Amino acid sequence: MEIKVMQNVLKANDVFAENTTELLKTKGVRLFNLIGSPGAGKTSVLELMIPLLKDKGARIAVIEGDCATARDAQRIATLDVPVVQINTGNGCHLDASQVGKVLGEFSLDALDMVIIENVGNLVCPTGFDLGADEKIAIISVTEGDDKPLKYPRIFHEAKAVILTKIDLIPYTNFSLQRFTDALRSIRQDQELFLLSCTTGEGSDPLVERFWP
Amino acid sequence: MLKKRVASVTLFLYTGCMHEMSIAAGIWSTVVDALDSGGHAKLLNVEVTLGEYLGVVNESLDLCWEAITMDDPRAIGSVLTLTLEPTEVACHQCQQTWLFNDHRYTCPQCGVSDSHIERGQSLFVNQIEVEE
Ligand SMILES: Nc1nc2c(ncn2[C@@H]2O[C@H](COP(=O)(O)OP(=O)(O)OP(=O)(O)O)[C@@H](O)[C@H]2O)c(=O)[nH]1
Ligand SMILES: [Mg+2]
Ligand SMILES: [Zn+2]
Repeated sequence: MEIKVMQNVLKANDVFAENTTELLKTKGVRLFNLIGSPGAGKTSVLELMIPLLKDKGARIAVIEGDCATARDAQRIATLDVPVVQINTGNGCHLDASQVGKVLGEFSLDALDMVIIENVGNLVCPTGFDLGADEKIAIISVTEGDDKPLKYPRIFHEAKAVILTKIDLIPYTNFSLQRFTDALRSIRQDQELFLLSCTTGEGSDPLVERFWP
Repeated sequence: MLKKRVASVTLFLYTGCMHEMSIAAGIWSTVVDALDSGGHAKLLNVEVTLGEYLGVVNESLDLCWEAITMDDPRAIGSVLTLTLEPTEVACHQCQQTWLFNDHRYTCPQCGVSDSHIERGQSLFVNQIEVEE
């Protein structure tokens, strides 16, 4: 016997994501989801930006996602902000239930923003809504200027892209023109931030972006 | 009960990227409602419309379905029948739409890259088949 159901299904992950969005809206806390390959410089961006944002008065907490170890959380803890490490084992992304649980460990009333460093991976984290206000793509010069074309989805979803390790451009065949063209072919209104965490070059516009 | 389910699923979880688990769990919660409300004893088949942009690996979804339904005797042996909804992109500038099969986000009509995914993210249970 066949029975018509005709129902939209909410993916289990999206239920948790919606809860997070609701919760943070009532608390007035913004949530950013940083996505980039292993070694792109995600933690380095946080290490550079968090002290600058704190100077401006921003109250920040960080969620670190990695397959293994608390190494990144330890790096962030030295900046004197609340940080929780999630280890995913072989899991290649954070999901919304993990993030929802961890949010319960922060005093949200004492925060302005929570920044998630997702597991190093340019593909899988894109498909998992964490309830964040926005996804931000982080990509480094050494990955090559064609990566937006090869892994376009994150660059379609992320309004802001941070290109890290620009201090290395002279030592590689990276073409900023080709990179920008590739980005614009996916999303013309993209905001591109050029950054070197080694020299600090490019940090001002980013501070402005996170804390206008 | 939940513990056991999670443990049995871990194996699959670690073989790939588990979109599929989240999707299977969503489908199952919809199906359970239908089974409960109709008082049906045996589920045979679930017809699902699945968006291509969700990037589902069918084999993984089948495995996840098996794992997520294993504790409910009504669902043992039931299968998912999938209808793929193609991904369609829409241009914000000129309203043109196109299929995403060549993975282009640039509008073929006006040449601008200012688009959103119009179709291809659906997850919809059309109907279930149960034993009479
Ligand atoms: N030259 C240069 N090196 C950088 C820059 N940013 C990061 N690095 C180096 O790149 C390496 C990886 O940086 P991380 O910040 O650990 O990268 P990540 O994206 O957090 O890596 P995972 O968490 O493992 O995915 C480190 O050795 C950094 O010192 C930069 O702007 N310039
Ligand atoms: Mg890191
Ligand atoms: Zn157009």
